[in-house]
Amino acid sequence: MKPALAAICLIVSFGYFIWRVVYLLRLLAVGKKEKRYDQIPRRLWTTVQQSILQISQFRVPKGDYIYAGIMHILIIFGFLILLPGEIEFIISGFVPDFSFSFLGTPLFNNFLLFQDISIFAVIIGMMMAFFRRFVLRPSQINYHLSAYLILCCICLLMATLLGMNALRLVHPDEAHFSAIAHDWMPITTYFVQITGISGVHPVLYEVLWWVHLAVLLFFLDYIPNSKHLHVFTAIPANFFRHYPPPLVKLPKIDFDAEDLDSLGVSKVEDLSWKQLFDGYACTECGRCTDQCPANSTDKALSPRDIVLSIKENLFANGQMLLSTPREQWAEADRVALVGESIAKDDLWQCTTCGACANVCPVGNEHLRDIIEMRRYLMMEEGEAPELMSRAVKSLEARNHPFFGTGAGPKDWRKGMDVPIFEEGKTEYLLWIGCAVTYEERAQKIAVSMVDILEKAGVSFGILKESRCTGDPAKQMGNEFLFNELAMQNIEEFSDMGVKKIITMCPHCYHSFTHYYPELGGAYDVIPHPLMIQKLIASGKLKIKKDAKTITFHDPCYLARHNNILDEPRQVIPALGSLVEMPRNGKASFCCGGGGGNYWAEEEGTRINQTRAKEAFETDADIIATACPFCLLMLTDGLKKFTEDEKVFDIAELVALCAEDL
Amino acid sequence: MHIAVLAKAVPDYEVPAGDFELSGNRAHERYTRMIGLYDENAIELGVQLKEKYSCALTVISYGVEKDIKVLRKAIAMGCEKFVLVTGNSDDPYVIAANLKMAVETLGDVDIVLAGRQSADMDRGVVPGILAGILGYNFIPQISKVDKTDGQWNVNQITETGSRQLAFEGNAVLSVTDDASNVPRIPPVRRILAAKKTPVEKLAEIESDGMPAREISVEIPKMESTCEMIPVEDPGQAVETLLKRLKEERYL
Amino acid sequence: MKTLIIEIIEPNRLGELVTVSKMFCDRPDLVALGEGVIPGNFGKVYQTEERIGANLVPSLIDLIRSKEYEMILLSATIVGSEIGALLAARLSSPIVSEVTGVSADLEIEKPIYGGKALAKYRLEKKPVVLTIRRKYFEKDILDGTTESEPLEVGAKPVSLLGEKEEKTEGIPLEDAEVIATGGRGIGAPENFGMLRDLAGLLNGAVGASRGAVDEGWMPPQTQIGQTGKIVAPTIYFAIGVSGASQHLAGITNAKCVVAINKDEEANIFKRAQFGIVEDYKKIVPVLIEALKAEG
Repeated sequence: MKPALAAICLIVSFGYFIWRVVYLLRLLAVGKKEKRYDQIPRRLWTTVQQSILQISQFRVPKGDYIYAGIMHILIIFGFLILLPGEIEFIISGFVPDFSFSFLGTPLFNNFLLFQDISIFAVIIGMMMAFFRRFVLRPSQINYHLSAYLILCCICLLMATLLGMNALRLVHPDEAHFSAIAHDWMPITTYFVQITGISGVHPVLYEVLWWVHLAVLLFFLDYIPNSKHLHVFTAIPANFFRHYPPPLVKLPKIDFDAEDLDSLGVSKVEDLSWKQLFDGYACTECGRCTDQCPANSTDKALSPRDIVLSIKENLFANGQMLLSTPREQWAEADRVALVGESIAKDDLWQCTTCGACANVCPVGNEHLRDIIEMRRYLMMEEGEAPELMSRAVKSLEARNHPFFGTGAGPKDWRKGMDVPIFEEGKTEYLLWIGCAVTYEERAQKIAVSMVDILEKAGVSFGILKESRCTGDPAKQMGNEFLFNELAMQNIEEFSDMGVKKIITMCPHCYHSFTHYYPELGGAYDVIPHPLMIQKLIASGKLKIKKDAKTITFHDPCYLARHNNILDEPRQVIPALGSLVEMPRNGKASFCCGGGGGNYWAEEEGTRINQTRAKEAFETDADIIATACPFCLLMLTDGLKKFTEDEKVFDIAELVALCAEDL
Repeated sequence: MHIAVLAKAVPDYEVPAGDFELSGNRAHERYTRMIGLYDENAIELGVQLKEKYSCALTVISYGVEKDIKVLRKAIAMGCEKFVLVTGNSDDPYVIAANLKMAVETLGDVDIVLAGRQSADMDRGVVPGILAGILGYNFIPQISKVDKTDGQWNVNQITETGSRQLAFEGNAVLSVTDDASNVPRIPPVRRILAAKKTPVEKLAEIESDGMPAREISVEIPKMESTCEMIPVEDPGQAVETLLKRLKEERYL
Repeated sequence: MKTLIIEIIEPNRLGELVTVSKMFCDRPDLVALGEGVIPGNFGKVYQTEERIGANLVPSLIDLIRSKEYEMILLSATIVGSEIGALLAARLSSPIVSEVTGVSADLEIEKPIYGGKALAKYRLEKKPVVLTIRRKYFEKDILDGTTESEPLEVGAKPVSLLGEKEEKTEGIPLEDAEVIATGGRGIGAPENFGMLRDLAGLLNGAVGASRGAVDEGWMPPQTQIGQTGKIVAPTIYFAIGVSGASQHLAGITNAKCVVAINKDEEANIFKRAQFGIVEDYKKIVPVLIEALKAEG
């Protein structure tokens, strides 16, 4: 009787599970093809580290994350170890009194020990979970009923396991099991002692058995209908994720292609299968949203919601997509992804800082989703916030986005004699970039850098007229304009024989390094903090140390996107003493200027003021940075807290302290 | 229905005064070329009319070949045909004569739209001269156009308000900016398609210029030093401002 | 030179054109558009109620040819735009529009490149047609009145269906001694209320830059600039205005420009006499309170 009933339960449950997974896989096939199986050894090793050893939990050292990380380690390892126990359990439904005791010593003894410890570990994990949800109450997690449902299920599973093991421990017919268990299952033994269980309770045992089976199978079937799908998808997600550098890679669009179907993303089928898979892998931990500078300052954008909305849109349109031929999808009735599932305004609030991609334990690509949807709005619909549109128009018309500037292209070097780049005569091209050329405050970065390079005897030259790399257009979604500007630059560099470039802006560095090569322009690009560090290290530049305290604001596009954290921190001690902000390095909090948001009217609390406050509260004499946009945003943000001018670029500080050799 | 829009490529009209330089009595060639500001309003109005009445829309320009890529924006915004009369005169009579030739070559143009003023010469006379020599009606400073029962109705913005005017037959209308004709950003697809649109090139014709001679073009000196009033305390700043205004006898 | 002014009956506009005409003749003739008494001392005055340029041109051509006028003066307003070029085309005359400087030997000056440069032309054939930019010439005091005779107007190809007047509360921009102008930086139409309060306290008017007009926040009649109103107030408050040269062209003769803009790099600070780098929302209300306190 029991085997038959158990068999029916298993068949129904597994059957549903498979049916549901097949459905999910079919939906995944709606997405575009994408190759994610290069560098297999690296993928395997990283997956083991991040997914199995749970290193991904501790990337950003925030208290709540560390707590959750430890809790999750207990639960996941507990479950992994309990898995063979569950197999033993299920078989015992068909073969009465089945157990692994045939494995003999020491395997069976250790098996029991690990089962015992694991049950306890999971129970501790559950207690931590309930404590977190009722007492600590971090803001970024979901407080839905489903979360509590699962916690209760797990508690029930552990309770029934503990119960069954306890009953077996005291059962007179289980002497063999009992003997081993007394030594090898300390926690269960202790439980028996303190509860005083004894005697034979066959009915209770059967009840516990069936409850355990029911909850187990329910859990199995609930997994592909909830965030717990991550139990299966987190490992492949880490395997198939994008591997830095760069932190996030935006796909190239070939505008000359004959069959150019969609520019950017407006429908789920415009996304790649991996971007759709992100929805399945998402654990809803909320860390992306928690780290998002826009969300932290009362804006509606939530990276988690982006990923989940894509998934929900996929499900909402699922029937249509699976029952209609692909050619008819465009005209079919559907829930719109951009506009309905995801609010357009949210997309423009992103500063592209990458904090979401950096912290996500399963390697989701929120930033890529956002930019690809911006591409659609900008290039297909011509829709963008007013000031960003003007910046784009200015880029189109006069090769720089700083509309309304009163500066001319040569103003920054008035009265200076700066060498012009000449092939064979000058080794490096010092790329000035648009922000440094057209924003008065930022021009000093170039002046300082020229001074530093001349003092250090570096062979360099500049272009006669500065322009933009096109990066702002790319960030705002106008990939077409980016391509045009990049191609212009690449052509000019090719004519002039440019091979090595020094940049003073991490955005320039990022575009030159990661996006120019696929358009035909490959160069040796050095961001200026690295250049300065090299010059100091090689003795070509001598710095007189000052007594001031300096805190360093890591620009997103150096630290997070490109892993450049150490070199500025090797330069700062030569200038003064380094004081770190609470959020530094790869956990740095954005200045708010990226993603075109330099040209935006911000709602709610201002990101730059929030970061300026954090810097100000370190009480450091100087706030140093290495990006002109950060410089401008923080200078403006700091005005709320003090009149003092404390924000400087690292080049300015070095130039002030550099000794003439 | 066939509507023609006039467009002209001019040097960047947003160059700040501090960076503006001349060479040979004209703006230095280093400035980026772009379609004039009001021309874009006229193109936008033309495209809106094309969408409303499903009419033909042609952009006509008098200028040099190297400006073709700049003028393609008119096609990307919605014009179907592009006629370029090649020439480089600044004389309004020469320009008007050549535009007349282009209009007559097209043959069936009902209305010609133009920006009210070019962004380089700031004259606003070519559309009127064109109307005069074509024998078309001429109404400047238009913001809206529609056609009902064979009659054209236009809304003209005046110094004191607006006038609603009507006429039949052909006209040249010069367009002023309005919230309803803010030039659209062309979708990238249209920009790509515009690159492939053929340009009909016409050679310039002989014509008499205006009986006038350009004597000089100079940049006037703009000296002013701005007295920046410190703003830590708005109350203080306002007080200082009012005090200074009184001291200088402005208030 | 025999000079004909064509203008509506408005003493400031007429006065400016009379000042220019005095360089060429003792007493100009006038075609007066509109009804009413003609102020000033003119030679002959022809009057018509027709106000649409297109309808007037044939009669004007006849008049100019028959009376052999050598200089035609109009204001660079809609009158000049509608009529000037059509007259020039029919008469094969030289025409210069938006004139800011004139000499007796027909050396004419006008701004180009959005006001960044000044071009000078010598006209070589008569009759010449000039449209004169407002507020660049002092208005002549128009003593007395002159009788008019009617101007016959023939067929009217353009008909007037309707006319709307933008209600300007208070002083018209061209006459205001104090103007408060808002640009794109104002942010929303309701914020212009603050500027109205400010202007009201100083018996002034409210203007707008092209940016604010394109947003639909203010009517085009309030636009100040090269293609809007040319004004010459004593104090010009440029609030949230970036200061593009086309806008500055509208205030060349403003005596004192006070710029309030939160962007310290805005071009307006190159023209302004006093500058405040701050969000106008923090300054203007305080300014209003201070002015109220003074009474």
